Amino acid sequence: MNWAQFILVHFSYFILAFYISLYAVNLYLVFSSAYDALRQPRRLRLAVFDWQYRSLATPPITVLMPAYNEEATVVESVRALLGLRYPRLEVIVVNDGSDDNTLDELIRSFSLRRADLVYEPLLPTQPLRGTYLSTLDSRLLVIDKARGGKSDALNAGINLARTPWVCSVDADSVLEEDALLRVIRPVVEDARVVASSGVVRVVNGCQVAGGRVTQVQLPRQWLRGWLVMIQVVEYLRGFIQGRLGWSWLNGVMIIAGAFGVFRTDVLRQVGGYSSAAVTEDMEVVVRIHRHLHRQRQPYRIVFVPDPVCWTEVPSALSPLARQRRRWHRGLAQVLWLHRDLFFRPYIGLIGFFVLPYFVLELVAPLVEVLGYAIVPVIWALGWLSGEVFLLYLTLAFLLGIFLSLWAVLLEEFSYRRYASWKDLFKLLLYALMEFPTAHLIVVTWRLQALYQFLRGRGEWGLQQRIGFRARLSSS
Amino acid sequence: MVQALEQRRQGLRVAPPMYRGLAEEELLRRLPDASQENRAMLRQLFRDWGFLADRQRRLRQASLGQRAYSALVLAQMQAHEALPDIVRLLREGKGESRLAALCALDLLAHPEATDALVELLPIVKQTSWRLVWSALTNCCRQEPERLLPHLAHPDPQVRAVVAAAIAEVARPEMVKDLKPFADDPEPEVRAKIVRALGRVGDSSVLPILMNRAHDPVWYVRLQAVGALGELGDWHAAETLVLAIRIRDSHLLVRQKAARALYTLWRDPIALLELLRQGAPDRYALEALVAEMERQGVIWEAINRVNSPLPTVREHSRKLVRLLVEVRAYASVLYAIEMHPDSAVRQTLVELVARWLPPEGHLDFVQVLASPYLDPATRRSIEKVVGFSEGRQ
Repeated sequence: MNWAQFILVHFSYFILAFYISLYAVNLYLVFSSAYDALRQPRRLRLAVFDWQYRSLATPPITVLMPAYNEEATVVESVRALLGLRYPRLEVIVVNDGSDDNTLDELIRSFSLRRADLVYEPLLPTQPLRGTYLSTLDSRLLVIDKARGGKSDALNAGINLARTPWVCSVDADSVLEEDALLRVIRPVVEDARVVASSGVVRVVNGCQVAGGRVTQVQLPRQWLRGWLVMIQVVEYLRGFIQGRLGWSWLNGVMIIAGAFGVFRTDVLRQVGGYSSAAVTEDMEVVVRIHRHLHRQRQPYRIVFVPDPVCWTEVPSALSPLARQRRRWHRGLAQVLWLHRDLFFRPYIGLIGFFVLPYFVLELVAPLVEVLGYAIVPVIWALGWLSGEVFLLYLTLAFLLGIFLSLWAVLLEEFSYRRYASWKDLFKLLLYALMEFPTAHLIVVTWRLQALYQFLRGRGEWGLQQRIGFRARLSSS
Repeated sequence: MVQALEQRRQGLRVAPPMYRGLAEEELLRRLPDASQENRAMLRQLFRDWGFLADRQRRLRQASLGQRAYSALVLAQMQAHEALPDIVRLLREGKGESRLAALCALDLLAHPEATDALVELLPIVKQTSWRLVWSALTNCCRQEPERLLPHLAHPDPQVRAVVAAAIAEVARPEMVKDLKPFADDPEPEVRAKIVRALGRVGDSSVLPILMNRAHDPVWYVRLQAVGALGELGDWHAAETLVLAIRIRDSHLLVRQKAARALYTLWRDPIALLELLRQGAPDRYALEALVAEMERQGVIWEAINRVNSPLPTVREHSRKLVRLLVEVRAYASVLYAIEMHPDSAVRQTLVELVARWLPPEGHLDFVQVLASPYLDPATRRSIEKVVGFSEGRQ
């Protein structure tokens, strides 16, 4: 065996070992999601939301909604938030230096008046231009501030929040009517919970009226909607299948910015959201883990599969590419920023298991592409046995497809939001197609993101909002 | 609705279990939205159709999951005879079944459950104390004195939860027994007892509350200033003023103190005068103005600056004047831009021009940059600040 053969063959085994590690964790996530899906009917039977609505144990919440150039959706989103079924609710909308008519729309629709409210900058933010109270609904407060980004806007909201819990939502997201009651249930039941998150699903294709999803359905167009369909499958895989297992280990690393509740004092203690972070929602969660472990405080960060937030996803390649590159750059940045947590005994499983798994996720695109390029060649040269090559193919392709199919089936048998057979058939078809088509494109975006991260680029990608009204009229 | 259900009664007695299950679910589904009268009838139907006996049997004998669900169903149907079995489930259950028993006791709100709930506290104090607190509060709403003996519990966390329940349900006749616990070594207990005293106390608790308003722990001070406001005693005002004058280290205490002051006096002009003369910094002032903004007092005054009633008009103008003089007048400037009544806008320009201190002129000039300003108001402001039309 010459040196080139030695290196390449051993590299092939490394790739196999990499896939086995990655999928071992994924199989754990599959089993945990299946177990939870089995428990779901019993859990729902024991949940009396009418009692919870009236209970003293249900804490007051402030919903924080940052808005930057959201004139198309902001009014409807705020109306929907104010219509949520929750006993003690406040809504703070932070207009983050919008260039469009976001603030004017809010002033006009909610009869806002300027008010001098005491503002203690516990978390540093860009200067405030003003605060507004609604004469129509005393639960609404609007902050107008200079542009500072989403994290900065959320921090301004946290500074003005007066409740022990805050919930961050996106301006283009639609919460289900009882989503807050459901997401706060773990908090009611367990005082150690400091953050809780629910499922984010894709709203594109659904019918939305009055800020609520009135009919859940997939995009009607088979070909033009393929990009959205693929994302529906990805979101199912990422949320319903992916997060429960981490929640069991108290290792939830991401609470989606679109929908998550946090204890206000904990957010203030850790310094709020970081404006320097590309994916601030992941970074703040890692910082909370770090802080509470250091304090030796018993705590839990949980994921609950039944509260649902619907969000708009990119329907064109270019914004999707920007979003995915940003997510991957954000992952790289968070892992780099918190590299001192790896294999530290004080942080337990997070340092030894959860964060290392995310490193595998980070480098997966690189390993995947090298595998596609090298393993078939080595096999063709006869340096790799047929069995090993078959194992590689199984791991590289079939397990990926299996995970997507599993997510769709889990959705169908437990949560069942897509009621029609046609939608189920479409989901299964796209789950099959996702791996050989979109997945490969996403891999290239992630590789680009890695390259950008190494070169030091970390800015946000902007997404053009269509708005629910526009989508309704076009559908 | 009830009559329609009644017609199916005979059939259901002999119906297969699946149909009985569906009928029971239907009764439960209708319960939350039913009127008081229909609610009572639905509960009666639940008994008459034999669901109650069936659920009680399951609560005693079935698996933990079935027992938990039965406890919840019986509690929703206000079946008080199920209390001993629910308490047994509370003691024997774990995880979800214990949580269900807690929720059931909360719904049932029966005073007899108090001791069992307090017994559970040392076991679940780290986790489910919120549910125990809520259940204790509801169970003792009619007989709050049942909680008093538990305030002497050796475990401070148990005392804290009991005190939190007392804070919600205390009665005036309990004041004498509660006073000693305002000095409890556990700050959570002090805070909750202070809150209870504020709700139901008389002038005899004032020294205790004034003392607690200087507690080293911020949330005890927070509850104390809130309690002073609720007490409604004029002597308390001094303490409150002190609390906000000294620039409390905690934002929430300052805000609460301002709110309490406003609750006590309801006279924004007197309060603003007082704070203008006495406060060493703007924290107290801003907290008070924020509270007045939230109560809508300032906007109401702006709307009435041209009131035909002389007393109302003068009062409103005086408040606007004070706001302008202390430069807490963002809403006044906003009204100059956006108020729908042009006469109000004009009056406000005149009032601001008359009373604005020289250092505030720049704020006034900045209003000119607003695209919403109508030409007449713009001209008035330009005249006031000395801009000629040509320069503009």
